[in-house]
Amino acid sequence: MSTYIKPAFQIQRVNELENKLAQFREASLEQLIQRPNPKSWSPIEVAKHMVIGHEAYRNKIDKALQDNSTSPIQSEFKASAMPSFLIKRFPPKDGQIRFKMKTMKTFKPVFDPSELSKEESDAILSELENALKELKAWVETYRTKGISLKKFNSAIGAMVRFNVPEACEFILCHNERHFLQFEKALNV
Amino acid sequence: MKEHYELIINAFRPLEILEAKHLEFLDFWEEVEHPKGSFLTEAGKIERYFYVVIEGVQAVYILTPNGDKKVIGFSFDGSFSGIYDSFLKESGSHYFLEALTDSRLLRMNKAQYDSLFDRYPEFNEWGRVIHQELLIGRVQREVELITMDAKERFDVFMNRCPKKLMTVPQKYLASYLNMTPETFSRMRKQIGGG
Repeated sequence: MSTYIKPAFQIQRVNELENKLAQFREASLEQLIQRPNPKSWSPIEVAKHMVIGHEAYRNKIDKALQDNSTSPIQSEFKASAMPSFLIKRFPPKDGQIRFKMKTMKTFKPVFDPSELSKEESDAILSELENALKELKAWVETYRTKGISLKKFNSAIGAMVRFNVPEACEFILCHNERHFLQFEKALNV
Repeated sequence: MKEHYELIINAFRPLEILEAKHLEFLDFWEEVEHPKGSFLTEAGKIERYFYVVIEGVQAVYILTPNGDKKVIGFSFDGSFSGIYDSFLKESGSHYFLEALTDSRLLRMNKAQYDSLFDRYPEFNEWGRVIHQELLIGRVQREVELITMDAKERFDVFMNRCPKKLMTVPQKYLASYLNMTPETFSRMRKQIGGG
């Protein structure tokens, strides 16, 4: 079955993540830097991973949005095969993260959370907040302007290629997975 | 806001609350423009304004778990607009409010809205009447959705539908009537509506 990307739905989901993040910001530094177990990330490492993942797409999406060759404005976009495969499997279902994957080295946060100050922790959460705002701005741009649907390489290379709606959906699904991880780590 | 005096008087009729002493109430309103396709309110965000529509059509809709739109209602020239429950409770909206055509509206914020009732007791009467009308309207719509078949819902809607609504894409009207765009289109052709 085809996967359709719906920008209004994306905006609603980004708003839900923004609301959750506002709640997460009430957590103490101790809660944010605590790892649920030695092999798992702390909530603040999860947040940094989302920021790194988002930033890997910034130049690619900004460039694609500047492309002058436009397609008509649409209320939904059909995802092609490989993005559709990922998008269907990535979001959490029934409160569980499915299809766990090994994180590539470039997307791993490289700091010791136990050495983080409150200011540094706040800065990471602000980065995530800004990333969500930027993601929503990208959706709003492609939703209201007829943009190019040319494909570009995903952050993991040419094996997976996205257009802007697909890339935004992938980033959003990725964030939804990790917000759940963030929430679970916070509640340990 | 003096240029919109008639519009505001009509919107707040039949109570005729806008006597000379209430003219300062006109200064509460701010005019805003929303291009076609823009969101006045997004699901997940708090509705900050109470609107009167100067010109244009807007739809209120909710998204299903799959992200499909289900239209709850419309606002248009001269009517009130906004996500009223979110506005009153100052909590996140479950709905989107989208401009289906280029729109111009007047709006006031929650503090101004609340002050109407504090400063002018007559607005409590307006509030009583408008909430009665809203409740009766919602119950009527619910009964229509539960008891009428598609053709009956279509006929009732076409009889009371303002002409302005006929300018919006059929998929929104069809969704409001809980039918497919194809069914709506077929029924419209049967009555010679194009």
